[in-house]
Amino acid sequence: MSGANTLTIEQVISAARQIPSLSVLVMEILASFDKKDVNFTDLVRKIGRDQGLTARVLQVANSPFYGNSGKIGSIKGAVVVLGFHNVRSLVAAAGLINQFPISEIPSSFDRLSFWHHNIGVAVCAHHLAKISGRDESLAFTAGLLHDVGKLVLDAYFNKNFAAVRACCAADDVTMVMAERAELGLDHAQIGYELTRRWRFPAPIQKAIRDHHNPEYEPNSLTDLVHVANVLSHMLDFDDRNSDLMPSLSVAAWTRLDMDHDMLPIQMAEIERQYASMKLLAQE
Amino acid sequence: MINIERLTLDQVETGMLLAQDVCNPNGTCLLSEGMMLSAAMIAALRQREVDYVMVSQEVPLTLEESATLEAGIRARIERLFRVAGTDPIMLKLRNTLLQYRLSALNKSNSPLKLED
Repeated sequence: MSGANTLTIEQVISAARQIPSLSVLVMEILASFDKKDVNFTDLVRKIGRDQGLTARVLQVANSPFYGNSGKIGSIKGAVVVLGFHNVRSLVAAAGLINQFPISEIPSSFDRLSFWHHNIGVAVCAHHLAKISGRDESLAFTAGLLHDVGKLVLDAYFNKNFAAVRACCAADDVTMVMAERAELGLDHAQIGYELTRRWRFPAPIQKAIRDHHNPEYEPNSLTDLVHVANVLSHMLDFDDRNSDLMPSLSVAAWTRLDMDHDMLPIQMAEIERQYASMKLLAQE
Repeated sequence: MINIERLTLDQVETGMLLAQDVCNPNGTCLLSEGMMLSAAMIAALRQREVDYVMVSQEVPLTLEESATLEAGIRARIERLFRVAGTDPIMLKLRNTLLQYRLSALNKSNSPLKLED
């Protein structure tokens, strides 16, 4: 592989080093996903001190979906109504989205639409985790960041990424296929390197790495993100960057024990949740 | 289909659904989105000198409109699944999505069906 746009993993890792670290608060929240003895009160107090994050979370908490229009005025109030775990996921999401400002550099890659797709995958993964009794917070965060490698490409390898998108359009292939052809690596690998640097819980790192290839190291979180990605494309949560269905791994679908007949009910619920959750990303 | 309209207090009727929060000029929320208007609420809004509200109403589609929407749904799904080929699980997903979208269309269109 030696095209004009080829990237090495070393180039990617050195770009990832330039990305500012996550705030201490967001790191602490992410680390708490793995812990059993979390000091809820302390974490809620710290979140409440961050006005930007608090405002975003309250916007979602007050959306019609939760039926509390305008009534929730503080993080403490949000915890009472939504539960600590949901609030924690929302705060982590708002913090991560802030890390990559939506209109940072001019590019034909639509970042708002990017976040809408990723929020869609987060909502799907969260819902699938809930109905199958798996960890909902991990699923939400892994879904939210599954494509973060694309942002690294857009921010640091703009020219190469433009070639990838041109290839998608010309050959009518998914982005991951175009990346492998043009760059010799893909956004899943890049996302893995970045979340390793950010010391995310290991299952999230692996779910991001394998979301297009769930057979590599089968794991229920990877399966959730893989299936959630397919559902999110199906429900058209991102209509500006891609409108091509990725293929679904039958093995992942079977391992999750998904009931196909229940899918319409799940989709209706996912669409309802998505309508509120997309408020996390706004221009 | 849901139609959102701006109506003055003389035009609104009880039973209509609010499409937006109703706030007074200093930003205090009087009624929230999604609430169904009652005679008492309308009277209260009049007292507080609110001029208009945004309401959402179900409007039945004509047969033509409904056929256009259905064609749009089919074309969109065709586009999404254009390279999925004959993979059985993709075909199954495609069919589920089509039924899901069409049933949502029919549901929003039920008043017309009843009249037929």
